[in-house]
Amino acid sequence: MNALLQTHQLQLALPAHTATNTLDWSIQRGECWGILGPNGAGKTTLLHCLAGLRPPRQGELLLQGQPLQRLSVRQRALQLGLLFQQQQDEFPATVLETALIGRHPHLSLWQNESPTDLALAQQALQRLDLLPLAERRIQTLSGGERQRLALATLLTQDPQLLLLDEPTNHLDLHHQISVLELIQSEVQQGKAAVMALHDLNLAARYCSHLLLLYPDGQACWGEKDIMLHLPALETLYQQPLLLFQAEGQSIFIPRSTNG
Amino acid sequence: MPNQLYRRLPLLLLAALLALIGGLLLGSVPLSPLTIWAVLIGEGNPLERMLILELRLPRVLAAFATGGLLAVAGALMQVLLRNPLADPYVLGLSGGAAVAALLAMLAGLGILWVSSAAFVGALFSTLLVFGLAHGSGSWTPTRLLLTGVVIAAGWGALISFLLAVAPSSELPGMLYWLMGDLAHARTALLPWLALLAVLLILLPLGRHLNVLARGSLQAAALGVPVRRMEWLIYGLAALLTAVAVTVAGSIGFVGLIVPHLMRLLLGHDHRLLLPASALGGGTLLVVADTLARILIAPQQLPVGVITALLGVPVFLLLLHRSRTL
Amino acid sequence: MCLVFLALLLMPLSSFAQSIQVTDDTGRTLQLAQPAQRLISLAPHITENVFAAGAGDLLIAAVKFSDYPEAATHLPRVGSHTQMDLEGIVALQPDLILAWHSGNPRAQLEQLERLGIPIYYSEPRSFAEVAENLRRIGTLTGHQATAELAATELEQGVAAVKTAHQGLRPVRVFYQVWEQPLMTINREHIIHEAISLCGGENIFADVDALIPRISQEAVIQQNPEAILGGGMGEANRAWLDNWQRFESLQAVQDNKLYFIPPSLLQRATPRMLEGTRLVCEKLQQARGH
Repeated sequence: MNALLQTHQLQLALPAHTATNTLDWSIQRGECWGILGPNGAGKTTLLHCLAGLRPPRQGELLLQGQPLQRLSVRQRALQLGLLFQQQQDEFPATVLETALIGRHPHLSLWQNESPTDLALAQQALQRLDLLPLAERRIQTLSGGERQRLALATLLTQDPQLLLLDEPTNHLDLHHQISVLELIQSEVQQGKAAVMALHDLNLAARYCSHLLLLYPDGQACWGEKDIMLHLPALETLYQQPLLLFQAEGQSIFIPRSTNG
Repeated sequence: MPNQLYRRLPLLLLAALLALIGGLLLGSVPLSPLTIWAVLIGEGNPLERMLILELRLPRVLAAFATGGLLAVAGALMQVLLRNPLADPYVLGLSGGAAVAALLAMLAGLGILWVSSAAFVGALFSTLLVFGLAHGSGSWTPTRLLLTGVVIAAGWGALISFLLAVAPSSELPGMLYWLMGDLAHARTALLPWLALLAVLLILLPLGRHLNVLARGSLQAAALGVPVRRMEWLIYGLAALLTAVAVTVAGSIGFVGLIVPHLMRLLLGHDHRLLLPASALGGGTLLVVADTLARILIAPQQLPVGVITALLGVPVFLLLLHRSRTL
Repeated sequence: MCLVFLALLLMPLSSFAQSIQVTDDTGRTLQLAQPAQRLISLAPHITENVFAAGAGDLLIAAVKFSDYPEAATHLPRVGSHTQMDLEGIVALQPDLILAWHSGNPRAQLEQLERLGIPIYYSEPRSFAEVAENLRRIGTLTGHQATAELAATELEQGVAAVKTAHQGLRPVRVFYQVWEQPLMTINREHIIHEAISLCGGENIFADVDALIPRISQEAVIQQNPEAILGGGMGEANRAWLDNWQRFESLQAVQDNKLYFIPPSLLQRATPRMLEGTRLVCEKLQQARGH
């Protein structure tokens, strides 16, 4: 079976990435990947590269067996969706209008949004507790509401592979959990997700696989249980950690560095 | 949702028609509606025919098309630069046109050459800004905007220089041109063709523009061929502005205010916004030009004065009453 | 037979008498089948010259600021010289428009030309050209005799001023057209001619532009003996008073700052003779010190 997305001898075009080894990685349906790494390691660049928004220094990407470059941007957008770290809101729009934008790749030049598209957008808003705000202006939303709206837009786009750059940004505790469970349920329906995360504990809980990205471009990846290796994580973050077990979950706590 | 907004489009169309009729009816010489009707169906005496067919009708039509061109160009520039403050002239287009036109006047060329020079100057400025903004790296809206503003400042200095060294016999003509006036308008055919052609090209691309307004990365992630779209928008906006400048010099304000007026009235969907801007811009300029002709008749006012006097209060009122922006 | 001969003899003569041909100040030739009867003037100086040529009663409209002679103030207006009311002009059905080539918007003039209305461009730059303009307006309107009289009177007046001031001590003069920005005139300008007739020396005669913008420094450097100023109103001396703070200026030390009403000197019409006499009078005062 073809992997949903496969990288072949991939190297990111980042000046700091001096390591010579390349990324030969494949993402299967039903997998939920977490990308872990310190600030500036290239997590966002990797996600943008997977989405085809930024060319790699070398290597190739295969989307369901087909080279990504040969696909039109619209064909890519039907398979790959990306949640950005920040949203640009220079122009006013309502919450519903913004979610409806996600239908763009599904419509041809002359098509307008149908009632079905509208229903999909409303459904996505509903799943993120945003339906009551449907007619609100996006400029009036709080940071967390805006982040959930971006997720709703991604759900409306309905791609096979969800690429998420820090999906829990700005979210309160409750919504961090509900959003990650939402992503998990999407993956269980046969899609796949790759998300850059800073919270080790959330990654440990919701990801099935992890990719550790080092500042020099080295990476190692595999199933969660193998990757949650304390010395490796301490090297990755240059930070001593404590590991606890509770309710069958691994809990990581950073140690004080001057103690 | 957007569907109920579409119902306001016929209202705009009606307003545009009323403005056009008003523009034909009103002038410093009183002519009855019956006389005008007679002339339009091919009757009337030679004097009335000359007044209406040679003076009023071409001017009203040129005003409408020019207003439409400027408003659509403004809406496009705002999306291209992701900046609601952008107007058709923000990238130095009118400055390039003005410098070329003034040079043509200094060379003692006729008005037709002056217009052609303005057109070439506008396009030259467009290419200059685009080339320089491109530079070594790729261009971003901020880079484009900065380059444009600096180039515009450069043109401004050149205009002042030309005015300073120009022989006094040429000076009044140069100043009139800079003020912008529909009295320059010789033909309404060119602006109408440009306006209709561009609207036709943009008709299927409205949703692309909606997505592009959310930022180029988001647009690319949603399947918009961003670079190609931005080239197209830039090219079309430049063309529209160049034609408008060629027809009537630089008339400020329409390109900035009309797209926002339409956003306040009709929302943010470019499929609706672009035709609405064309109608709204045309209506505003026809009304303004008609008022400029009759307000203190037989004296004539520069049309830019009226567009501002009319647009500012209407815009502020709508802004005050709306929570959209 | 005899009649036919007579007719043949008269025909070229009569057609010659009826076709009017005049070259205007832009060098263009204007042809009229018969003397113009309905004139519109598009500049105040032209209105004045039409009246001076005796054709004032043929004017059917003029532009704003056409305030001399008194009869001109009653003419219907067709906008200002900077923005004409084309509809109003066309509706009055003139058979001749007298326009100011460099003062009227060119686009509007071209539109009038396209509508087929004959246009005579008037832009006299010297006393000789003012006289010539009077004669041409006379020709165009069939008022040759009156126009000739006015033109001769002007020429004789100019000649008289010239002889009266020949051989007098030259006075170095600064003529101020405008205050902000500071503007004067060069040797091409008719005001320069007026100053020269009185034995004055225009200190900015050799500057390139016809009406150049200059700095106060340049005036101080040239140190004129007398300063002549137009001014905003007919009796507003504010512009001249502003020079008082430059006490090193000779003209200020000797108190030789003179006001000349701009309407007498800044319109190229026969009235300039009056303005010139006033300039001569002031310059004579300046010499007398």
